[in-house]
Amino acid sequence: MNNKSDRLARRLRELPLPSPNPQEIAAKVLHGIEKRPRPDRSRQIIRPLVGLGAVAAAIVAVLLLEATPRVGLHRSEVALQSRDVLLTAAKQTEAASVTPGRFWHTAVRIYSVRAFSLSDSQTSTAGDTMTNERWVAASESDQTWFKISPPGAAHSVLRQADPNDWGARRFGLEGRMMTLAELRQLPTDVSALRQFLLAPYPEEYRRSNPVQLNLRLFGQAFELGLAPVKPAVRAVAYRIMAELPGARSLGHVKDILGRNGVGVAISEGAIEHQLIIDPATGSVLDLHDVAVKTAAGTPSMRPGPYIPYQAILASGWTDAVIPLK
Amino acid sequence: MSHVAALARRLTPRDLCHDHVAAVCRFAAMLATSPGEAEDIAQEALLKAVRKLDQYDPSRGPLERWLWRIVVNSARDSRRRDFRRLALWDRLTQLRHEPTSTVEARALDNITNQELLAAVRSLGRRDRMLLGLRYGADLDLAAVGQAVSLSEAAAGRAVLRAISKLRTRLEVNDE
Repeated sequence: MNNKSDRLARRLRELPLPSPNPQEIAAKVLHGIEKRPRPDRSRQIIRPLVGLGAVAAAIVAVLLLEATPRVGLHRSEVALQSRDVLLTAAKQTEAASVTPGRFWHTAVRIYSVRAFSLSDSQTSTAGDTMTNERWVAASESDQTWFKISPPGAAHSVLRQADPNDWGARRFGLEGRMMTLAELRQLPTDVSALRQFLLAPYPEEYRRSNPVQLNLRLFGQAFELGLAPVKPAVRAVAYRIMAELPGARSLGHVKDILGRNGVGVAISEGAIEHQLIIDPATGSVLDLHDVAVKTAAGTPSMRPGPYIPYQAILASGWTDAVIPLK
Repeated sequence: MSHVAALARRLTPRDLCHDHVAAVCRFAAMLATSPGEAEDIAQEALLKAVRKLDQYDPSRGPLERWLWRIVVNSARDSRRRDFRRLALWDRLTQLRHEPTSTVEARALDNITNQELLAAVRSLGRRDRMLLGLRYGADLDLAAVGQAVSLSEAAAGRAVLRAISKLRTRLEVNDE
């Protein structure tokens, strides 16, 4: 290896990576093997279908409960209502007054489902709930704090963030790990924000993957709904979401925790992603998945209600690190 | 039970996690294109390893060789899962790197960590896997080769090619 490659290799070796927290991964793994269903080993090898989810992203699930999926609305009705629902949320958001504090606090309750194939016709599941909180310090002189409750752990852990942890100062937006200052500079103009949201996708991707592109924009609007952006930016994000082809209104619904909200959904194959927003404030209440049909290649997935979810317990500015009860 | 088998029996899932989780996490972070995917890869790989722990036979080679084969295979499998394609969550944070043709050539020292990570993520999955094993998990070339079924020399050339592609992506000019 020549000198130049050596230097690049050294940079790679020392690169601070947005690595999963080893202690948390170890705890989940050990918890996972302890909770694993124990079928007759002589009959079948258990094959884990999914991994546990995480607050950063990655909740995956297989839906096993039998139930009737929600009834969709007529297509033309849907388009109109979806737009109206989100535009109403956008107006409320825009009008919201925000007083910045020392920390941007987010508390998310995550439910993830692990499914195991016991045989071709038999499955078993194990669900895990955990609540994670994060207080991102606005000032460089303040510390960011995490409170992590790994599944199965007797106690949650409140700790200062490692400065090398990318989550200590940054917020994910389609993989772009943005600082508070960068988020504050996001444009409040629809066309400029759309351009920013589209920036990660090459032209070719936009042309050849229109459905995926809409899903990604839906996802980014969700992320902006949780990020410390100006209310006007969040409002514009909802407006962009309202215009997405394929988005449909769920009307007035309750979220997973029974809170009143308005819902908007977008389909991805056999899954429908349902986002519930507080119409009074424009805050995101939860995002959950519903299986709307049996997916090819996933025979264990049957239509039914939600299951893996992320419920937002808190999202806003605060001056103190006080964990939720 | 042989002596080596008895020794292997004493290695518990907790020991395995304790000794290797940090390296697996760094490997996963370099291979993945999002924090969520990294967490999935690390967790699934370790789960598979601890579940197969009673199959590990020390007489057939060191634990590290056995473990990293499982980690690499698990990472490959993770991509094939149908449900992963269905999960919006996983897509939310995946990075789509823009072509770097407009980036001006510049010195490596002026490239930020974030830019370097973005460039790594713009590489193909095989290149990311090689770099993840070599520089994320800090394996030597022999171990990298064993993990991906290559000779040490071939692994060295493959890693060098990945580095070369990375240089091109960054358009590094550190003459």
